[in-house]
Amino acid sequence: MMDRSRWMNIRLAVTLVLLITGGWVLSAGADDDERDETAYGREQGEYHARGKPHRESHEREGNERGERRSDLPVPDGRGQPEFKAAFEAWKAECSSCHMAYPPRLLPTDSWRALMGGLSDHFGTDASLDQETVDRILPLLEQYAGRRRSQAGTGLVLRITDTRWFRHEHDEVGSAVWKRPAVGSPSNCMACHAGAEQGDFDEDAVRIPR
Amino acid sequence: MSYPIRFSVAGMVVVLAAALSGTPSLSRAETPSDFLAAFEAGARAADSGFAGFSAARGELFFNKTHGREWSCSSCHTARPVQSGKHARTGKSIDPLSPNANAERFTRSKKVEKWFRRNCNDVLGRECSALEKGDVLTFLMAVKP
Ligand code: HEC
Ligand code: HEC
Ligand code: HEC
Repeated sequence: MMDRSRWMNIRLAVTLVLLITGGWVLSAGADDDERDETAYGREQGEYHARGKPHRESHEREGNERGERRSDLPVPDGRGQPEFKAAFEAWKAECSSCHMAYPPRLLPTDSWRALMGGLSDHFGTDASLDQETVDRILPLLEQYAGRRRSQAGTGLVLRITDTRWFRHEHDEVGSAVWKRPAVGSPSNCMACHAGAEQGDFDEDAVRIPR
Repeated sequence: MSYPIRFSVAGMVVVLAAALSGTPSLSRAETPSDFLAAFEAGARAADSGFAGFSAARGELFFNKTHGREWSCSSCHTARPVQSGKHARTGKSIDPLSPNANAERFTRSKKVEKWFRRNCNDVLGRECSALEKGDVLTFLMAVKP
């Protein structure tokens, strides 16, 4: 049988080895969520000043606050290095159950409400830790659409409940939405193949049979 | 993808805590077997009479509903070596069994996040360590 002090020595040595390798392994293999935090945090205060004029045809209306935002159809994480970590988190977390809806399809208020209620997200649990929520929301705010979201009364959380969506699709019959290849209006990709790249050009629309 | 290799004090603290307390740490798990070991420790802690996981029990749990609309198989199929499909949105989901998808059960943050969400949707509560261990045992047993 080993005596107690020898056992403690062995345990200490093992701990030291683990300590050193652990420091490396855990910092090298850290989850996506943990990367680039500093770069993002440093620039966070500046983002409102950076966007270029918005050119989208269905987004003609002015921003309530008169700010100019990016004209990219979807954030791509390249143009604005301070959003790289936010972009990666958004892409990873918001595209696992459906396509990542381009942020300009909803206004800031809707994104804020949506990100505040992820544990009951349209009837499903899409909860995220607060750190990840705080990382994604500024990206959505930066690229948000500039239309107000009211459809009648209250805040609209669904793109498909906005007034502009109904207007653009008023010629699509209710039977079409229910076709198996479509499923529901939320499934943009069924008819707009470039939806994930932010391309909703009417000339490229193809309604599946 | 390349990760910046830097010395992390936080990493050292985590390992130090794990080494000194002698408990299995989920944050170190990297393979399906590591997860299984952690679930086993959890199941044993909850019930000293714990007598091992069962693939058959896991399969049953996976395929039946638990008082709500969905079962696990609603999205992951009853043969989870195949691709699944989100029951609401229709989006395709890569196979859940590690036998068909080497990325499964390799990142504890991801595994914990999806168990939390999906168990809540299917059962309206968290899954126990026994239930998770049974499901994983089933997922490791299904043949491609
Ligand atoms: C766990 C699965 C899941 C995750 C993760 C998820 N969603 Fe969803 N989301 C859904 C479901 C289910 C719906 C409802 C779809 C339907 O009714 O067809 C939905 C709907 C939406 C809609 C409304 C679409 C419409 O009908 O106009 C938006 C916007 C949305 N999600 C944004 C997000 C964002 C942003 C994230 C990332 C923070 C996210 N979702 C992550 C499951 C998820
Ligand atoms: C059933 C097929 C279908 C689905 C699903 C669908 N759309 Fe459309 N969309 C159309 C049609 C048809 C038009 C009208 C094209 C035209 O005016 O000729 C259209 C037009 C648009 C336009 C205006 C395009 C332009 O150039 O004026 C936008 C923006 C748009 N859709 C966004 C969306 C979004 C966002 C979603 C998902 C939340 C979606 N659509 C889902 C069929 C669809
Ligand atoms: C409504 C659809 C849905 C249901 C029901 C569902 N899941 Fe999932 N599950 C998903 C999606 C979506 C993902 C993530 C997609 C991906 O990673 O490819 C996922 C991922 C997972 C993961 C992550 C594994 C990894 O390491 O990548 C586990 C574990 C899991 N599900 C277990 C379960 C269990 C157990 C049940 C039943 C209690 C269940 N799921 C029910 C949709 C579902």
